[in-house]
Amino acid sequence: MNREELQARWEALGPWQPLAAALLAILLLAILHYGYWFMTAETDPGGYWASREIERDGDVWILYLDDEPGPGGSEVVFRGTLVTSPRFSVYENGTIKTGIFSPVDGLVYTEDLYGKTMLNLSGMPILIHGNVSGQFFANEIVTIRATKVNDTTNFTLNGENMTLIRQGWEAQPEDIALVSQVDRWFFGSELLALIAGVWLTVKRRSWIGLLQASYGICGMLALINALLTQNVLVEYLAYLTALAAFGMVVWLPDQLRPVIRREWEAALHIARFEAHRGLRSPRTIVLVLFFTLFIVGMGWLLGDLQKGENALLGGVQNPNDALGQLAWFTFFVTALAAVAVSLDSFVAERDSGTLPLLLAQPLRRETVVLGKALGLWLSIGLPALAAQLLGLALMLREGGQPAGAAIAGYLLLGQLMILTFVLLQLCLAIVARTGAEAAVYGLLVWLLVALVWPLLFLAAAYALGIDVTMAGYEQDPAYQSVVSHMGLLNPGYVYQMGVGLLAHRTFAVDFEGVSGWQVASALLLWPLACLALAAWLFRREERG
Amino acid sequence: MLRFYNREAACNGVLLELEDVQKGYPVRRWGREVSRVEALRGLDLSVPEGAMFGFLGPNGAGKTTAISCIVGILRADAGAIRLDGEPLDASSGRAEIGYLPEQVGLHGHLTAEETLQFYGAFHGLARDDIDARGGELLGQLGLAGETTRAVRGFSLGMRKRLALAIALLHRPRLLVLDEPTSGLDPRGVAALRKLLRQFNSEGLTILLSSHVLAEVQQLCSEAAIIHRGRLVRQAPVEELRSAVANAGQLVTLKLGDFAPEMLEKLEALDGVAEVSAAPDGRHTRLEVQLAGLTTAELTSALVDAGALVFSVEPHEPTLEDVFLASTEEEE
Repeated sequence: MNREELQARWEALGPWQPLAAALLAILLLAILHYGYWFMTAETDPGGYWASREIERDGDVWILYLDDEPGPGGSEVVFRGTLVTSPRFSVYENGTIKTGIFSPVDGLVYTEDLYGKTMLNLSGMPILIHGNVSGQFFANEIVTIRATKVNDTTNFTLNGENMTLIRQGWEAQPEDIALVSQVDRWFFGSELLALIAGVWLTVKRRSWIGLLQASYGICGMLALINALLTQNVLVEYLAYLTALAAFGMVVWLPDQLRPVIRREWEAALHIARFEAHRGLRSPRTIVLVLFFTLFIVGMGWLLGDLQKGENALLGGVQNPNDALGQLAWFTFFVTALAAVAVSLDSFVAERDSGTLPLLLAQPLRRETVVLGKALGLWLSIGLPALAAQLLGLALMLREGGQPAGAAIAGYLLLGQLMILTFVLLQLCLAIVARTGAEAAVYGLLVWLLVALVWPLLFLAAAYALGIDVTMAGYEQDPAYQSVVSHMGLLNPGYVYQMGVGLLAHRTFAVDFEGVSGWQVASALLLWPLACLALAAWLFRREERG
Repeated sequence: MLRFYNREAACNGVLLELEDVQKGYPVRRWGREVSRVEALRGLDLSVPEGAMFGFLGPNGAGKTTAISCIVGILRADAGAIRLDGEPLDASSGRAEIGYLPEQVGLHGHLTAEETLQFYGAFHGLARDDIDARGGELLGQLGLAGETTRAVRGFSLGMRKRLALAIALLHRPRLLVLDEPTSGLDPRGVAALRKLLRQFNSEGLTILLSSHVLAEVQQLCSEAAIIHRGRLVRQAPVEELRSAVANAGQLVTLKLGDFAPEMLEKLEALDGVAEVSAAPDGRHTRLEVQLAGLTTAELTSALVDAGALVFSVEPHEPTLEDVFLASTEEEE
């Protein structure tokens, strides 16, 4: 292809030129990115570890690694993903049986290992001379500058004394680094190129359908980018880019704009009305007093429990842990308030006869549901935000400072949780035929999510063969996995997990068996699914 | 639902048109539909622009269901509902309809002004426009002094008038009234009828569903009768009445010296459909359903037969007669 042909093809792209240039730039950056790691690190530690051989010569075993890791020599940078949480990989008295050879870890367990961590980096064990529990988390992509060691240890096999001469890789805690410290520059540049390409293309847009498709692709790219990176700033920027790109897909059609605007304004109008009515109702005032006292009291207590002398009393280990517990208590009372305030929303309107008049207005059913949900959310969410701030202030005064992102998550995700429960109760209020029926449904939902759920954990764990009668079963990774997975089915636990995740560096970490992105998806999907269900149920009433 | 643009209907001066509208209510057991109660079975209706249109039918005929489908509370299973030739949906058409339900439910904590502000905003009206138009309407409806009072203190009549103000706030082209005078005292009824006539004379098309046939007869220029979810008859009110008149007029006579054999003679006369006689003090009360014979011919036949005629009372056919006759035919 000669220069004229290339130029002609470029011209043919028309308004898509900026986007095409951006995608080309992203491709080049991705190649550079790949090349960088290829040149500086061993990127397949699992494959390298698979090359190990064990030669048995009588009572002498020799473990050696056949391949040479590259690049490097006796000191190599390995790049990979932490397969298991370091929290569960620390050697302690009772967790290992000394004097036996572990083919998986490639060493003989001895008392010298106590307090050290055996990290599983993409399938390759690397011994860290220190406890890195709480510093790194499963699913995090890290580099470890490890040194090759050769040592000899003795072990017993079937009562016979054996000798192991091994080759292994070991490192100090400070040799571990998040890959994102490098990746953020590549991902950040790619995102900037993407944003610039999309923006300039928007300016030149000509054909709406294709443009929407391109936004969809950009949104997907940004989302993948967000999930791969491990820098919180780049990650959130990528989430925002994805959100904006997906928003454009919906927002763009010119013919839809006035409809969306009109319906949105109508929803806000209903919301203002509902909030105005809700905030003045005696029911709301009583509920607000109740949960404010509870949240403020718990905030104070959790702050106090962080002090050294009380640390054991409530099991509060650090400020992040305290914030997680405060999130649970906040869920416990505000979920009840959200359910109670939305209890008979539609039933009461049906009984009083105001619903037919509202439905006869030029509104979509979805608009009515959205407006009501927003209004009820405001009537509980605004006082709840004040209570959260008060509780948080007291906790901070008495105790330590949790992560900033976790504080933001506690406040904002708390509001999302309240909205979810409002929407959930709206679904039930639409289905219920009488106020009493709606009240029973609401109470059952709250009892289930707030009180019965922990019992369901135990039942499910027992059914899965986890021994829940043993002391310390709560620390069992299998039990933690059950709790995390079942937690996704409960908006209150999703909220608590969201706050917990934000106390870490990024959404990309593993939360005891559940990936961060699953928690993030659950945070978004719960309110969206409840809204869609409520709208569908309400629309179904048109059928009579 | 069949929905297509029908400009022809619009050109014929039809404002609202229902074509083969069907609507059934599902009967559910444990969330599953086990059967359906058919409320509308292919209803056709044409409401001319500018008409005061009566919508009649016995209980359970499907009037409220049809109205609910028109104003958007329910969605028809099949058929088309068009306003000015265009299909009605939430985003178009319905903004041109005002609706007064039979049972008026309003938010008790709001004042009349706030109520109008709440509903007016759904039609994209600015706050000032709502204040101006609302004030004008409340004045016309006799609620000028009640604008800042909470609705919970309103009587039923006041609520109905406020609901009518809501329905008229956005200057609709079609006003749909479901039993508008039910629950009102006679003064309230008279005032409402006066207002409806006034709005109609200003060009507003009104669809009035009522059980009070006299009301429809007094107010409406055209009426439709539905029964079991189908249109039985639709015509101008006068035409409906004359149809019954042509079918036969009822005459009541007060006679003296009425001999029983006269009854047989009367029944044998051409143009007499039905005769019944009953003692009325010293006289006899005779009811004759004519079928072609005129009142004068009947009187003369009775005189010729030797009866003393003290009074002759021909009955003007009412809409009730039309209604009963039409629904009986359907039965």
